[in-house]
Amino acid sequence: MSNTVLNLENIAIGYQSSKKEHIICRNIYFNLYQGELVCLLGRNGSGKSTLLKTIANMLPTLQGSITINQIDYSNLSALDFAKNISIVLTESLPENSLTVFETIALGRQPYTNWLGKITEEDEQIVLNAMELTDTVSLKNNFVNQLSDGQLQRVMIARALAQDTPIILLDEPTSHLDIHHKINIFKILRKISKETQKTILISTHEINLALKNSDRLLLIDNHTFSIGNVQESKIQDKLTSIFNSDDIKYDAKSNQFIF
Amino acid sequence: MHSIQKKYYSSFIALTLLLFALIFINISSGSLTIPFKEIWNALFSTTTTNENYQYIITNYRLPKSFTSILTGIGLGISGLLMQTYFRNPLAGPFVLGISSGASLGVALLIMGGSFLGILPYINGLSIPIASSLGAFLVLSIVMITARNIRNTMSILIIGLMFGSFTSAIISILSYFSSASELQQYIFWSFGSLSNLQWNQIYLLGFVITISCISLFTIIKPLDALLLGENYAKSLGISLKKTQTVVFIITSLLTGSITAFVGPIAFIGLAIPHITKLVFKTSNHKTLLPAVAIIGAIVMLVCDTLSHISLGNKNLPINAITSLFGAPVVIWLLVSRSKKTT
Repeated sequence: MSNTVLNLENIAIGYQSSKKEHIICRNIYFNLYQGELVCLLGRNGSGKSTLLKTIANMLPTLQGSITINQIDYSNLSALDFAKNISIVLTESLPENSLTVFETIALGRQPYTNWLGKITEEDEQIVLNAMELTDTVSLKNNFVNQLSDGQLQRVMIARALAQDTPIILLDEPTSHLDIHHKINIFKILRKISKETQKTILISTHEINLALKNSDRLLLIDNHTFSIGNVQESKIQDKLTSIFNSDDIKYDAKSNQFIF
Repeated sequence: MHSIQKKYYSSFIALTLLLFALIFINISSGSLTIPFKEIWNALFSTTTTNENYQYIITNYRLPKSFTSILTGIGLGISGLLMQTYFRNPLAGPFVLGISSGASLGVALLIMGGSFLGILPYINGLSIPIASSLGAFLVLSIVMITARNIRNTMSILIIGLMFGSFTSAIISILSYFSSASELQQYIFWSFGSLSNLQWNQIYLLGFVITISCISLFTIIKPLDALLLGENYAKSLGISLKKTQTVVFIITSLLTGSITAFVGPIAFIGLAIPHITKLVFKTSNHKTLLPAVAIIGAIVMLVCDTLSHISLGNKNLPINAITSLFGAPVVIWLLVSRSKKTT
C-alpha cells in the first residue's frame, strides 16, 4: 500500500458530558492510505457517526491519539484541520440564497485572503470540482432549489474544492433513490482514483459498499475490524453483524441477498 | 466570483443616486418647505441667499437627515448580523436584550427617578446614559447566561425571555408612576430623530464607522455560517471568536442608536429582508453595503413621511417604521409558508 494518511492509535470514541464519559467503542486502531475508498458499516447506534465526528475533530478523542500525515491532532490548528479534512454531513443547509458556484467556492475559504477573494486559481479548482461531480450545468442555480441528489453532488464538490487529503462523508446516500445512490458511489470512486484523495464513507448501503470500496471498516458491539472483503475475517464479521432470517451474505457473489 | 459581484454595481449606483435625492427631499420637507435650490446653496455654496433657510438647514434639517441615515445603516447591519448568526429570518437587532435593557434604564430614570432621588438630574444627556447603562447591563447578563450554551437557538430564546422580564418590570414601574412621568417615558419610546446636536451625531457616526470597519474581519465567517455551524467549523472558522465579534458590533450599533434616538422598531428586522429581495444574494461582501444603503434610504423615507403626513404635527417615528415594517414581516411569513406547503 501507498502512503499512510491517517493513523488512529488505540482510540476510544464516545460522548463526554460535563461529568462522565460515555464510551461507545475503544481500542480502535487502523491506518487509512492515500487514494483509497473505505466504507464504514455498522448497525444504527453502533458508533459510525461518532467515529466519523471524532476523526473530523468535531468530538474530542477520549483516549489514544490520531495523526494525520504524521502530525498529531493536538498540534493542529482549526485552519490546519480545514486544510486536511473536509466533510459532507447529513444535516440540511439553513435557508440562504447561495448559488451552486458560491457554495462550492466556500470550500476555498481556508486558502483565500481575509476578504475571501476568489482568485483565478481558486476558480479553476472550483470548476474542476464541478466537473468531477457533474455539477457544471447547475453552476448558477440556487442551492435551496436543488433536488436531494443534486445537492449531495454539490456538497461533495464543495468538499473537493477544499482540497484536503481526506474527505469524510456521513451517510451521503440517505434520502436518495437507487439511481442516485449508485451515481454518488460512482462519483466518489472516480474522485478517489483521479485525485488520490482518501475517502471514508459511513453508509447503510451494504451492497454498494461491498462493490465500490477498497476496504471495509466494520463497527459493532464495541468492537471493530478493518480489511478487504476477500478476507475471511471480514466476511465472518459481516455475517455476524448483518445476517438474520431476512438477509444473508453470499460470499460467492459478494453481496447480501434478501 | 468577481463576475457575480459586478452585476450589482448598477444597483449600487442607482441606490446611491436615490439616497442623495431623498436627502434633498428630506431636508426640504417639514412644517416649512424649503426649495431645492436653497438647499443646494446652503450646503454647497458660500453665498447664502436666505439666512433663515441656512439656519434651519444646518441646525435642524441636516442633523435630522444625518441621524436618519446613521440609524438606518446601524440597525440594518445589526439586523443582518443577527439573522445570519442565528440563521433565523426573524432575528433582529434587539434579540440580545438591548432594546429591553435600554427601555429599563430609561424607565428607571424617568419613572423611578422620584423614588431614587435623581429627579433633578434628568436632562438631555441623562437619558442616553441611562439607556446605554441599561442596554449594557441586560446585554451582559444575556451574554454571561449564554456563555456556555452551544445551541444558538437557546441564546435567541434567552434574549427574548429577558425582554419579557424587563417589560414586566417596566409595567410595574408604570403602574406606580405619575401621569407626567408616564407621558415622558412614552414619548421616549416613540423614538425621535430630531433631538441630536452635532456633537452627538459625531459621536454616533464615530461608533458606527468603527463598527463598520470591524465588519471586514467577519465577512468570511459570516459567509461560512450560511452553510451551518458544523460546515463553518470544518472550514476553520472559530465560532466563539465570531460570536464575540458579532455580539460586540451589534451591541455597539444598536446600543448607541437606541441611546440617542430611542428604540426604533422593525427597521432592523425588515431591512435585511428587503435587501435580499433586491439583491438576491447571500454573499456578505455585497449584502453588508447593500443593507447599509437601503437602511439609510428607508429611514429617510420614514422620517420624511413622519413630517409631511399631518401638516405641522409630526407623527412619532416608531409609528411610521412599524406601520411600514409590520406588513413586510407579515408578508414574509405568508410567502414563506406558501413556499413550504
